[in-house]
Amino acid sequence: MKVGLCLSGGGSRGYAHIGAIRALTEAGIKIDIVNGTSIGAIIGGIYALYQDVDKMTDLVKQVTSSVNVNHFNLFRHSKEGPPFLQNWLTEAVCDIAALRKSIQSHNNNLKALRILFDEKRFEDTKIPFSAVSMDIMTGKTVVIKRGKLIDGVLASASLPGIFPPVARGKKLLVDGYVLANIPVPELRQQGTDFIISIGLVNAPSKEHENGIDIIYYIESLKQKQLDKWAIAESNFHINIDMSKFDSSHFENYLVAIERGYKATQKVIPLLKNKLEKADA
Amino acid sequence: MPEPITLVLGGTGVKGIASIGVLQSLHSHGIKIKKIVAAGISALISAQFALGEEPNLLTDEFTSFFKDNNHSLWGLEQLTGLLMSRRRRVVGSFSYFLRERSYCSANFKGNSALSWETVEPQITRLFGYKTFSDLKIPLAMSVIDLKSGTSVLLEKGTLHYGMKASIAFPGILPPVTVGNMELVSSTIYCELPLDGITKKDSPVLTIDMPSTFSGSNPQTLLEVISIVDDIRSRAIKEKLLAKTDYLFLLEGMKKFRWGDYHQIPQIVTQARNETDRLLKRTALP
Repeated sequence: MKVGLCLSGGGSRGYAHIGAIRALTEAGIKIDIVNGTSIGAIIGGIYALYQDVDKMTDLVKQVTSSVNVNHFNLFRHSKEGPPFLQNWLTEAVCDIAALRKSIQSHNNNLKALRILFDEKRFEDTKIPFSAVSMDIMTGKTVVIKRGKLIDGVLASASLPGIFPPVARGKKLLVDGYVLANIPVPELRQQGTDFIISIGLVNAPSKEHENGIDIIYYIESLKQKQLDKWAIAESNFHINIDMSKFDSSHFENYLVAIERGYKATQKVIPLLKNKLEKADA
Repeated sequence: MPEPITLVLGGTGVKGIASIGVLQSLHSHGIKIKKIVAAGISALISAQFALGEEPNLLTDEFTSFFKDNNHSLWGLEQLTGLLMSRRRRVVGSFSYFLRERSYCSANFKGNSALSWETVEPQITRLFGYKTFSDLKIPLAMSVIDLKSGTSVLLEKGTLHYGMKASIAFPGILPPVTVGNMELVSSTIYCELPLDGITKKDSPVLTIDMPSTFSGSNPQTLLEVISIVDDIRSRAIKEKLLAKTDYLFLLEGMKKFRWGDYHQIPQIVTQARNETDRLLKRTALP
């Protein structure tokens, strides 16, 4: 029986995937194939490449200490700062929104991904791995299985609006979370018999200060619906509650890893039971 | 004796006005409607129809409303160009920049680009304070409650609030507070209000007024975001369409955009002709 691990997107909350993988490894559950979206693709990629949880944690530590991992969050200082700074930032963002394709460039992302993947390719991973992205020219989900890991993972984690889309031939790729935040159907298509999917639950704020918040909230409702449909196709879904986790700070990775570990450990007996039944 | 149907009407933005043509056509073919579930501008038109009035009276109302307010709507029509970047580069790129920028700025500083001042008096003038119980055909208006994060069907109370909530398109008009709820239009989530459809509504006829998918290289952040939002709404619509028994796909509506308010009569005629044609081809229950 081919067992697959499906890792969802969710920004810095996704470090919880490392904890989940640790719990699965300790329980002796063998994973034959892995896929992921966004941060899920980053963690899935290093898992498939090294198959070593300690090394994964070390790499994350290395990334957080050498790259400015919070650069994507433009408003990170403005809340504490004087109001004029916030106004100025708002105006700047409006200019950017109407003139450029994204707020940030890929520079910092590439630096971080280079530490994780170097020049390694999808073909070099110890178990099959795929990164899930979205082509905004066709509106279709794209599964990347070949080429340099750094390119595939970058396309899967290019959050639209924040980072520019990645051009690949005629395709224009952005973060796969758009349609496949929990890419279960994409893993099923690769002939996986039993899928263990990992979701990162957060409660989007219902409070809104402006129209952008309202639009963002409606998007989170769409996300919830699409996630629900994806989870329904999984054989075993693990929900990691990340609702009280400050996801704007990537340096909180140890907290996230711990939560992922505990949540997964709790459901291991149930998972083993299901796996045995499925194998029988 | 034909079985009465539940009619599902939606459509993004101005395109919802096409419901006028759809209702005219269904009416002239003697299709019996037991209930209408509507979202967006379709909710206003359905209310007019359910009150027993001629829906086509609204065509002129809408046309003149947009004509009179062309200025204060600061070119909603051009903003639809969001997904028409190729054309934009040729004409009026500076104006396009200003529209995008002011849309963004208005939504950062407040709840929406427009206020209710322009729209509300028109609704009051047309419908006064009639209630859902004045309707001859039951009508449910589909909206989203921001407080609970769920879609809600409005079937009671004053029509006025339901209509306002139905057209409270996020980003364009502010949310509407009704009791404990804070309501916005559900068309940005899914242009067809299929969420609240249940088995007892069967047989269900859904009218789909599709839009063309962008398929062009976006030039600005707002374009990227709106393409992404559109992709998701399409995916949700596709999945929810499984709930309908009969689907009328008005292919010809693809040539109109959500802000094409200078083409209202054409939108209505197109929808009527296409519904006529589909009714001839399809055997409803």
